[in-house]
Amino acid sequence: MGRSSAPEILPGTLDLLILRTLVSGSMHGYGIAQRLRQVSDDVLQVGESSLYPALQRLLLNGWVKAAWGVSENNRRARYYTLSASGRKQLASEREEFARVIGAIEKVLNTA
Amino acid sequence: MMTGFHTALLRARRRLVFLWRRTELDRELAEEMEFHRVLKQQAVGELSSIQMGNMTLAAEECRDMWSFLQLETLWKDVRYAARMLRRTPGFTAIAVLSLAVGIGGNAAMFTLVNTLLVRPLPYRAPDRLVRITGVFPRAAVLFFQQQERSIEIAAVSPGSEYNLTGEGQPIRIVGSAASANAFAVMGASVARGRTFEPGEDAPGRDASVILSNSLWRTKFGGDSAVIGRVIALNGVNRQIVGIMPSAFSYPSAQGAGLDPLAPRSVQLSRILGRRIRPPAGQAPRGNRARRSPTRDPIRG
Repeated sequence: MGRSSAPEILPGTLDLLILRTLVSGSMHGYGIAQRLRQVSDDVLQVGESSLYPALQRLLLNGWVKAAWGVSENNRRARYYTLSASGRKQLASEREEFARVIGAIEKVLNTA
Repeated sequence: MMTGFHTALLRARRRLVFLWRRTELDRELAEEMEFHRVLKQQAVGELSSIQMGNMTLAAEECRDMWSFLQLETLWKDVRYAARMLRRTPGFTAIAVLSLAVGIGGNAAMFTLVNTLLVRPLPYRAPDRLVRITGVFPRAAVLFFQQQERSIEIAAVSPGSEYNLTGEGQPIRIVGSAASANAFAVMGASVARGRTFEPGEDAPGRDASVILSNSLWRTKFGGDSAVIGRVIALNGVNRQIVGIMPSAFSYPSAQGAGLDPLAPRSVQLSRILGRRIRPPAGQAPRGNRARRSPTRDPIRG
């Protein structure tokens, strides 16, 4: 049981969030988590125990690439970059997400 | 997450790579997580392992993702099943037997249905062949042929026994009489020699015979020189004019085949005949070899 310190993220959306975050350039895992937190005003706090499996999953699907580089504090860090197929996946997942959210809102507003 | 077939293939390939570099990837993951931990520690200050989340589990999850876990589990299940079956031989025997009987029964039934109902008969234009069974006088065949212009009518008698003499030891064989046009109507031909010529089924001109392939091989040793030779059937001399191909098994005529092994194939074509009826026509008249010379069952 990976106890996440972050509030529940909608299942399946973590991949989408990571892909979106990587659009602005390559980042290491910690950077991604920080970025998500900042952009979401501390609402989305991704736990390490779900972040790294998610990154591995994206690697496995070929949607991100990983390369070792040197971090700001001069340490070896693994940087993740969005791949071409990852970009495509992001577009389709965004579309799907918007569709689902739209549908949920519609239900909430009418039912 | 929707992933296409292509992605699945890529994933499988990356998994294979992982098998090669398992320890390396494990180490990289650990290093990456350690890097994360250090940065977080610097940001937050003191950090207990609980705040960091369960990293062992996360690493475990990553490893599972990379390996062929489902395949490995499946293989384990198969081996477990095999062990259980070995431990209970009685149950296994009954299960295997039930399966065998079930599959065997189905296969046999399919073979039968396929041959009888599904596959077309091995004749030219089988959809236009109609078989009429019954007992008709031989003269009726000639009469039908003359009256009916839109149908080609051929006749084949059911097999009857003949004494074959004049070839060493006399033997008893099964053969049939056929009208001269039976081969044309069925679209059958001989492997060697010739089929009956028109008019060869007329009285006095019917002193010819065509051998079945198996009789030719067993009795005459597969010798091509046998064509033209005269043999005696029930004391009547007939000249061998042709040999049928081995695939041909229609109840053979005075011509078609004289074959001690024929009854089985005769039986089959009779079953077939109830549904689709091959040639109608006239059996050679004046065939003294028949037991009832005036009444001759005809298939049309």
